[in-house]
Amino acid sequence: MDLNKSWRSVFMTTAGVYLISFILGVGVHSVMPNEGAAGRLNFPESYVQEISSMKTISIEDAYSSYTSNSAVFIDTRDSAEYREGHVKGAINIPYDQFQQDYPEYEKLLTKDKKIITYCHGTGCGLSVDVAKDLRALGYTEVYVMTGGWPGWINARLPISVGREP
Amino acid sequence: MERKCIVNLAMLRPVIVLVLRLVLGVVFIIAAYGKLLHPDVLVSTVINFDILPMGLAKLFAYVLPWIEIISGAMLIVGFGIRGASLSLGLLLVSFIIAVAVNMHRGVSMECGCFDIFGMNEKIGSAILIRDTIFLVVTVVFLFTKKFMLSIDGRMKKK
Repeated sequence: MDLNKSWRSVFMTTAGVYLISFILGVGVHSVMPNEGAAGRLNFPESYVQEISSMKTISIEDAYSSYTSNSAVFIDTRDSAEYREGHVKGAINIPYDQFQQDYPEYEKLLTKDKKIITYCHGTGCGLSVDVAKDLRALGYTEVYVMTGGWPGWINARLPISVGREP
Repeated sequence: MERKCIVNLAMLRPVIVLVLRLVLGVVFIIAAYGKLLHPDVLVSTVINFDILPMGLAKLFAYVLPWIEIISGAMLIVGFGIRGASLSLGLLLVSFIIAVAVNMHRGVSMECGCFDIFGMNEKIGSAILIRDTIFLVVTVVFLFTKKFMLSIDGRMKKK
């Protein structure tokens, strides 16, 4: 009986912590939707909206574009990962080297072709970052490949190892 | 001689629990502070984990640092220690699941655990081990009856 009472108080305390946190979390967000509790960052167009506004493409559709040669694939992982294996024909623009690497590939990125970016999978944001940079440069047909590299390799689609083109 | 050693170890247990309580409390307050400083980074990190649907992921990101800060403070002052341990334990279970699922997917991403002091950890087995150790500590607290230097202990005496 006493044991039950002691556990009940534990659960009640936990529920209380969650309830207060919920009120504080939602409250702070609604009062300062563009800033954190510390009020330091401004939150221009939230990352969340950027992700949801990004065009995405499935592995199957990306593969049809690959076979019809109507897309350029950009691997946004780092160069070591790219060399270990990548979508056949993909170029490598690591997400943190976009400014340096873009001029080298500018000629390949013609506006009549789709640009498909990918990284480590659905949960990975690197391909979104590069897609965003490309859109800022005026490219409209930019797609993020959902499933990324793991999805491509699981589907046993064409890959290359080493540097190219 | 041996007997004396055993007695000393038993006496040491409340001290060890006290030290662990303070350490865990401080760790979670630091973690929460970093998250409150960079709320947008936290939202995108939770979304990148790709476990919860968008709306729930955002809600989780708003509420998460507050659970950490309140529970951490409760551990330090020694009020509602077992309840605070349960709330942190449940959080740790969710972190472990999220990291394990993404490691299984082969995703390389930032964990967003401590967004402070320029720490930029990637998910991996080190984080899984660390979270599991923290989880074990919270379970130990959950089954501990007496806590040294705590409001809980003082209230019980009365």
